[in-house]
This record gives sequence, C-alpha cells and structure tokens, in this order.
Amino acid sequence: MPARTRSASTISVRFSRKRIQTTTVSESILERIAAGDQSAVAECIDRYGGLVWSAARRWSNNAADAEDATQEIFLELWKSAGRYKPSAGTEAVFITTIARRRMIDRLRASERRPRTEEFDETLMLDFTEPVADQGMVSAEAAIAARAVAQLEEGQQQILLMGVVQGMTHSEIATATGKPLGTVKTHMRRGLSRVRQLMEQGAAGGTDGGGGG
Amino acid sequence: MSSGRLQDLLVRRATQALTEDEREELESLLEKGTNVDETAFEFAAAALHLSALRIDEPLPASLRTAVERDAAVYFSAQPSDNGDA
Repeated sequence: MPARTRSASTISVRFSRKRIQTTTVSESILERIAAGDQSAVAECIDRYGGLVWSAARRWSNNAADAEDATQEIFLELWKSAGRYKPSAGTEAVFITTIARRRMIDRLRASERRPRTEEFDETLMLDFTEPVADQGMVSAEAAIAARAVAQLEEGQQQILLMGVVQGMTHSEIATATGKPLGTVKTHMRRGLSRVRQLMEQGAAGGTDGGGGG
Repeated sequence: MSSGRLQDLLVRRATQALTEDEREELESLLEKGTNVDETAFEFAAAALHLSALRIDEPLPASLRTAVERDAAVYFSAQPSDNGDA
C-alpha cells in the first residue's frame, strides 16, 4: 500500500559531527543469558525492548505484524546470545543485527517493503541533536552517524535507502536514476567506511577519519 | 575474483535478503577460508540503522508478557548443564 518509488529528493538527512554524545553499555547481558542466568532475560527486555519494538514497528505494515516480528526477534536473540562477543561490538548493535536479519527475512517472505511513511520521518532526523536525546544506546550508532556525515550526499542517500529503508539495490537505482553498479559500489564503500570508523572508534581514535 | 563476489554477497546480506542460491554460494565462499570479516558489513548496517532509529516507544506491556512467556518456554526446554560459568 505505501508507494514504492521514492524520489531522491525526499531523503534529506542532516548529519553533523558535532554534539554527538555516546552512552556505552557496561554489562554484557547477553553473555549472562548464554550462561543460563535467567534474571538477565528480564534485564535484556527492559534495556532493549524499546529498540526491538521501534525497529519492528518501522519495518512492519501493522501492529500485529510488528508484534509477531518482535517475538521472533527475541526468540532468535535467546538462541544467538552465545554468539555475542563484546570485542566485536556493543550489545545494541548485535541485537540490531539480529533484528535486521529477522525483519529482512520476513519482508522477503511476504514480498513487502517497510512502512515508508515512517521512514520519511525517521530519515529527517537531525543528527545535530545529541544522540542520547534520541534514545541511543550504542556508542557505535553515534560513530556510524558520524561516518555517514563524512560521506558525500549521494552516497549517504544510497546507504540510507538501503540500510534504513530496506530498499533493494534495484529499487534504489530506479529511485535515484543511478546505474545498478554505482549503487552497489556506493553501498559497499559506504558500509566499509562506517565499519572502518567503528573499528577506529573501538581502538580509541574516533575523531579524525578524514574524507575518503 | 571470488573476493569481489564475496564482498558483493556480504553487502547484499547486510542490506537485503539473499536468495537460496546466493546463500549457498556465500557459505561455500566462506568455507574456503578467507580473511574477510563476514560480519563487518552487517554490523556497520546495524549501527547505521540504530543511528537513524528513533526509540520513542517502550515495548507494550502485553507484548512484553508474551516475550517473557516465550523466553520461559524456550529456556525450560534447554538442557540445564550448569557445570561451569
């Protein structure tokens, strides 16, 4: 029911390098879950329930669908908790990875696209707002936002269409008028850049970065 | 050349679903043992997604109850070998 094709001009994201604050998660709840500590389950739901629910809502067409997705994501999380390695990233990013996989599979199975109206709002987020004010729970999310801010506008747009809106590469090519190969290249380079900055951040050197 | 293909598949997995054939191809490429971090793109995509996600609504209470109930069922079915933490 939502319109599939979107003009490139509808995506207008203002990323900024300034005023980004981070909130790091100290305890590894997932490791405790993997070790059989069931009290960590409630803690996990307390801490990340809003994250999972918000993500599911935005990638679902209705509340019932979002509720099913949320239950599936948490179930997948209990099964995957043992794979979490704090050295690889924060719990919030790990959980978002699980959530994305689940939601992408669901979308593919039902041939649906995420609810794009919600994403217009989401994509208009102004990243000059402190991250903490947006409910962020991960330092890496702040680093990712900073990394995107360093990309050129066209690359930012492609990355956000693919990652946040869940558009396929072909859909992005159609919406932006760019060749499919260019879309794929921008996507790969953009994600590589984000990851590179995340790794630098983990190593303690998030500031510089420089253009690429 | 397979390295380029591997990267291509990993990016696709991070941003959109793979077909069954692509999934098998990816597994076989990964089994060949490369020094590629196979989760790198997915983690980057997740961090980026998180950075754009407005977390403005708590998990509804009824849904929380359902999630807790699912968890109880799941964990009660797991073997309880608490040998070592």
